[in-house]
Amino acid sequence: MHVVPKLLGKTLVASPERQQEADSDWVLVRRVQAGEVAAFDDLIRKYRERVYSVVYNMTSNREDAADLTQDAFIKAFQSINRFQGQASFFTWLYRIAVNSTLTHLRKSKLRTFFSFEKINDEDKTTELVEQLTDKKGVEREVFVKELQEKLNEAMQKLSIKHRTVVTLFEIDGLSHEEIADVVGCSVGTVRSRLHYAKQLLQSELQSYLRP
Amino acid sequence: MNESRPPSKVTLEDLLRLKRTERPPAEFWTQFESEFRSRQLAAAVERKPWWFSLSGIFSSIPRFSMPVGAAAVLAVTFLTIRDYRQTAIEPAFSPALANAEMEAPGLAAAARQPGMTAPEYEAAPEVMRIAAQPEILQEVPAVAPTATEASPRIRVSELLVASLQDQVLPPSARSILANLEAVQFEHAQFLDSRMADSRANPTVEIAVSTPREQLVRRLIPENPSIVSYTAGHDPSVSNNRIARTLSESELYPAPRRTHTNVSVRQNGGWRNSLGLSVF
Repeated sequence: MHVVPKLLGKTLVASPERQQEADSDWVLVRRVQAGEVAAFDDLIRKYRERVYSVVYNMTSNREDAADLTQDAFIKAFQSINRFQGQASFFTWLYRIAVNSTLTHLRKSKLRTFFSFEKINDEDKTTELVEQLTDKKGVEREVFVKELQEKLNEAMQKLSIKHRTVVTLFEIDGLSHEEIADVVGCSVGTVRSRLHYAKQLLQSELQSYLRP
Repeated sequence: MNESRPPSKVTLEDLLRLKRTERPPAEFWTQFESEFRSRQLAAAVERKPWWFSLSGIFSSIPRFSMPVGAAAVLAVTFLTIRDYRQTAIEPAFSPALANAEMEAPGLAAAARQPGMTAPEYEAAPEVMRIAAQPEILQEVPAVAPTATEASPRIRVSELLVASLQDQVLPPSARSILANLEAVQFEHAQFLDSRMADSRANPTVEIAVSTPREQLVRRLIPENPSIVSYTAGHDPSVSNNRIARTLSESELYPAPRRTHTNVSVRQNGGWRNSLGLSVF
């Protein structure tokens, strides 16, 4: 019987769902540590989209995002024996992914290429786009594409640190405490970065916002 | 934007929510999985450099242990170097200066001159104090006989005194002379026995040569046959010409260094030498 740590280090597990998720991850991690490599596939399937989303929104490049996501999983697999459960697995994995991405972004500061994923036409998206424009058909698609470009452009105008915080909070839905744990700074710093980043984004996207 | 937008509220959070929907298609994940498999295999086969294992060692050390340990190592290094300098320089230099002071009153005053700022000269007041002690004054002549006695041993202290008075030698050379004198002072009997064979011919010469002189001497022998190509030609003229044409870069390969050599000429040949290099 595996012992599942209830309080995972200094990570504040925000909700019962998160706690349950952390517990099930810990069981999978212990199986991988015991030599059951197939258990790691479950972890990959569980987190690949979220990790990819974080990396993609930080880089705004789908090819780089795919590479960096794979790198993050390989690094996690290689060092999983050192994972002691002091943080939740997803925080640990995010930390690896974010650090790899930050290193990549610092290295390739001067050669930035953007390549975007397509916005999926879901109900919520449709509703939002309808609020922004009454155009239909091709015109509507052009408008959505333009909006997407503006959004990514505004994100890229943020510094790497601010972009990371906005991505983790607004897009991936992590709490301030979880972001602080992933990024390795205080909660106050996370809040201040978030506030500054939002101000900048608001000024950049002013023409699309309605108070 | 266009004029026909409905007047509903759109916030920044709503716009950022759009980015959540930027997701790759399902087939992307099939390709991702196969690529990941091959990279995972390649990573498993790849041999890692040895320093990769260091991260595991250091990660197990608590966060504050590293700076504390580094500070402790620095402190121990500093103390060791300081103690070494105190024990290594003082005994070597003090007797030498004390010995020299006996022959040249006012030596300590000369040693405290503005040019002599090396740390070993800080010991000059201490030297004077030791030199003033009666037992030292009695002992020194007994252990280190003067040049007027039968022993042909070199009187380095004479040279030291001369250099201090005339300011001919740089401080480093004087320090070497002082150390030589200290060696003589401590191992008088040993040196006497080693030099017993030279008692028959007591011609002793001390030469302090510069690096340029040493190199020129090594490059051009004293009686070279290769340059005496003309009958009646003076080899020293050719030697001097060659020495002049040798550039500084040829004489001093990088890195530049200051080297002072003290050689003892005995029975027509260079016997002993002591060199000190300062990079």
